[in-house]
Amino acid sequence: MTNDSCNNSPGRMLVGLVFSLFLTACGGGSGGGGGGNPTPVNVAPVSNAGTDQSVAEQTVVQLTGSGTDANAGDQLSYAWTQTSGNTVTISNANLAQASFQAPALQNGVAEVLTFRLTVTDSGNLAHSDEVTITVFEPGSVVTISGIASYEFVPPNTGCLGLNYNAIETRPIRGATVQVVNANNNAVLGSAASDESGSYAITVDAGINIFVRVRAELKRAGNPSWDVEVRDNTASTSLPLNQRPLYVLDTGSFNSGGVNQTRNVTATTGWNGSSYAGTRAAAPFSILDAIFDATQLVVSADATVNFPPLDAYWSVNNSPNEGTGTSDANIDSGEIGTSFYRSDLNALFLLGSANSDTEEFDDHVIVHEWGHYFEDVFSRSDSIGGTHGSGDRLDMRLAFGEGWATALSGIALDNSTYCDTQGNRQSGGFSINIETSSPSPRGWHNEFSVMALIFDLWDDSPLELTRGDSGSIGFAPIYDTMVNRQSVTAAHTSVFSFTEELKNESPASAALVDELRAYHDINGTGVYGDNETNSGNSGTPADALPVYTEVQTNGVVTNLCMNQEHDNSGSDGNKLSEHRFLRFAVTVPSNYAFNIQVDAATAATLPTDNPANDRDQSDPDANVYLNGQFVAQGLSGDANSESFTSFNVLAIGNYVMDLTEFRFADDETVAGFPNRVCFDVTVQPAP
Amino acid sequence: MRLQNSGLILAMVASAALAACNAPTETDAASNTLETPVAKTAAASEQRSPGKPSAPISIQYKILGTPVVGQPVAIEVDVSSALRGQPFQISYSVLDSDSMSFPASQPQRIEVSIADNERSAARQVTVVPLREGRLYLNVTAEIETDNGVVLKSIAVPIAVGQSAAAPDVNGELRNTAEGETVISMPAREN
Repeated sequence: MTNDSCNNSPGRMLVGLVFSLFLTACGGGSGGGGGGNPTPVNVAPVSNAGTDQSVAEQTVVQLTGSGTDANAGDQLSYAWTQTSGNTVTISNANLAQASFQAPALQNGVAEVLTFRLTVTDSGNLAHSDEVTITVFEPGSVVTISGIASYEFVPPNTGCLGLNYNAIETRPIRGATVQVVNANNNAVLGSAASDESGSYAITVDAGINIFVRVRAELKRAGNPSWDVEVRDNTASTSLPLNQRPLYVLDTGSFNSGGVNQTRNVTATTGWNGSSYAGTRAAAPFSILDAIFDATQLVVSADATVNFPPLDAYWSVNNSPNEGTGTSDANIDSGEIGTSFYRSDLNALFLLGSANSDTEEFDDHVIVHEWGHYFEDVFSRSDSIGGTHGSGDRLDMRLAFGEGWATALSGIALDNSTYCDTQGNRQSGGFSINIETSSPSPRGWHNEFSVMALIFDLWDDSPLELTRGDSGSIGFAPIYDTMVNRQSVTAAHTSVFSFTEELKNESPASAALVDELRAYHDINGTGVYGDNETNSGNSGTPADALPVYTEVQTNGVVTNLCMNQEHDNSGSDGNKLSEHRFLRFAVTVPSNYAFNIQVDAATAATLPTDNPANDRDQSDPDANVYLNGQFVAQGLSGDANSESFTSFNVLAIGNYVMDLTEFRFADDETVAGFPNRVCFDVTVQPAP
Repeated sequence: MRLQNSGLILAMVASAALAACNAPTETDAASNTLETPVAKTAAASEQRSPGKPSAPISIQYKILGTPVVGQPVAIEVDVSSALRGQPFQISYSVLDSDSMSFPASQPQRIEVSIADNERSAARQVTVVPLREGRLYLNVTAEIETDNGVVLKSIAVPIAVGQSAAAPDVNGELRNTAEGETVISMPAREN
C-alpha cells in the first residue's frame, strides 16, 4: 500500500455533516417519533490495497485488497484500476481479490505498475488505496546501497560531561555491511563501508532481505586488520571470543526489481534525560576510534598486519572490581576500569550509564588501544598498578601510560583527552596532552612522557618555551617502537625510547634533546646514565642512579629502596620501590644471584612472628636480556633471595629488577620499615 | 586504615584491584614458607594494563551489615589520595531511584580531608534498597590537581535478597545462519 485517499471531498463531507446535524436537531430521522433511536451516521469505508510486491515477469500476480466499514451491514463494492505502467488486464477487478499477469519486460528492464483499489459503501461514500508492483526479470539483480552512520555525542567544554544537544552523525568507516536473506538468515552479499560510510551490495531481485552492519573491521592482505566489538556479559556460556558481536539491523524489505537506497544510522538511545532505548551507537563509536588508531599506524607502515583484537563493551561493564575471579568479573561486567589484556588481545571498556561509560570517550579507547599496540608491535615492561596525576612512578609504568595517552592525542589529532562520567554522563575531566606536565617533571612522570611524545609528533603550534621547536611526524616514532625499542637492552622507559629514537632517526636528535631538557630528563643512553632528577625525593639515593652497575665476580653491591612516593603503602609501583641493576656477561655461564637484607635493615625489621608471614622482608628479582626473562627469584623466603639463571647466559648486557614485595603487599604488618637495603651479588654458578 | 576481607563483610579495594594487574600484585607471603614461584611470575600472570588515567585517589569500601529491602544499610567508604593535605569532594548517586534511595539526612556530596597522620579518610553513607537484586551505589571522588579537577568513580554493588538480576542486553540476541550469536540492534532508516 503506497497511498490512500478518501473520496469524501470537503464538499461532500460538509453536506454529510450538515445533514447529520439537521437530523439530530429534529430529534431523529424519518423514523423518529419522540424518543426513538437516531439513524446511525454513515461513515466512509477504509480500503487497503495490500503490500507492495516485486514479482517476476509473466507471472500471475494476486492483488490482495480488503475493505472495512464502521457501519454494520453496509454493503461494500470494490473496483481495481491501473494508475501507471504499461496496461495490463485485471481479472476480477470488481472483487477485493483481483489478479493480473505481469507483462514481459523489454531488455530485462524492471517496470513499476501501480494499482488503485476503491471501496464504496451503500451510502456511496468511498475510499481508495494504492499498491505498487515491481516487475523484474527472473535472475536479475539489484544493488542495495546507502550510508551507514552512527551518532556521536561530543563532550562539553572542559570535558564536563557529554553534550547531548550537539549530537553529530558520523560515518561508520570500514565496517562489514551485509545483505541478509530475511527468510533464512543467509548472507547474500557483503562489503566494507568506505571512509564516508557508503556501501553497495548487489543481490538477487525480488527477495525479502535486511541490511546488517557488523561492529567489526576486517581487512585481508597488506595491510590487514581484524577488530570485533563484542559483549562480554551476554551468552557467558560461550568462550569469550565467541560472545555476541554487536550488529545493526534494518527491518526486512523486498529487494524489488530496481536499485534501492537504504541509509542506516546507529542511534544513542538517549531520550533527553536517560538512555531509554538501545544504545546502538556505542559499539560503532568504539569501532571508529579504533579505526582512527589503525589508520595512524597504516600511515607509517602501509603493509602492516595487525593481530586480531577484540573490544568488549557492555552496558553492564561497571567501575567496580568484582569479588570473583578475573573471568567471573568479566562475565558479570564488574571490570573495575577500562583496560587491555595482552593474554587475550582484548580491550575491556566500561559501559555503565550514569556511572562511567566510554563509548564517546574516544581518547580513553585509543589509550587502551595504545597498550595493545605496545604489546603486539613493540614491548612493554610496565609493571602496572595504580597511577594518577602527580604520581612519581616506576619509570616503566610512566612510559607505558605516557605513551598510551600521547598516542590517543596523535591518532585522534586532538590534544584534549576527555574522560566523562557520572550521573547522566554530566561530569568528567580533561588532560591537555600537549601542555599538562605537573611538577616535578621527569622520567618518572607519565605526563612528561606523554607531552614529550606528543610534541615530537605535532607540528603546531610550536612552543619554544617547552622545547617544542618542530615535528618529526609519526613514522620515526612508529619505527622506533616496533624496531629498536622492542629489543632494547634496558627496561622500556623514556630513556630507552628517546635514545633508540635518536639512533633510529638521527635527524630527530635535536628536537628530542630539547624536549628532554624541558621535561628535566637528563640521563643519557638507554640506561639514563648520570640522571640528576630524583623527583624531589627525600632520599635521592634510593631513586638514583637509575641503574646500578654490578660486577659478575661476587663483589657485593648495596642498594636501597623506599616507599616515600607510595601513598597507599601497598602499590609497589612508585619511584624508588624498584631498583634497577645492570651487568655485562663476558663469559657464558650459568649465573647465581644472591640478595640479602643488609645488617642495617635487619636491625629495623619487626621481631619475626612465626604466626605472621608478613613481618619480614621478601626481596624479589627478575633478570632480563633484551626484555626476555633469563632468571627469576620470586620465592617467599624471608630476608633473602637466591636463584640461578634458567640457562647459560650468553655474552650480553643484562638488567635486573629488584624490589621489596612487602611494598606491594596490602597485608604487610604496620611496623615494617619504609626503607630497606640489600646486598646483591652476581657470579658464575658453581 | 586498611580494610580487610573478613567473613561476610565485602571489602573491595579498587586500587589494589587495579594493581592486581601485573608484577606488583604478587600474592605471596614472605617468611618461612616457600611460595609457588609461578604465582609470582609476571610472565605467567594475566597481562592487564593499569587502566585509564584517573585521579590519584583510591577508593575502598565495605558494606556494614546485610542489605534488606526497605531497611537502611550503611557503606563505609575509605578514600586515600596521593595529594596529601588537598581536600577532595565525594559524591554519591544511585543508578535507578526506583531501586534505591537516600535517607533525607544523607548528604549526597561531601568534602573530605585526610588527616596528616592518616593514609586515608573513611566516611559512611547510608542508602535504602527499594527492591531485591544487585543494586549499585556510585561513588565519585574529585580532586583538584595541577591539571585541573580529575575524577575517579566506582560502582559499589549492593546485593539485596537472593534474586540475581539478569544482565541487561543492549539489543536482541539472535543466531546467524552460520550459528554465530549476535546482538541485533535496530537501525534508524532514512
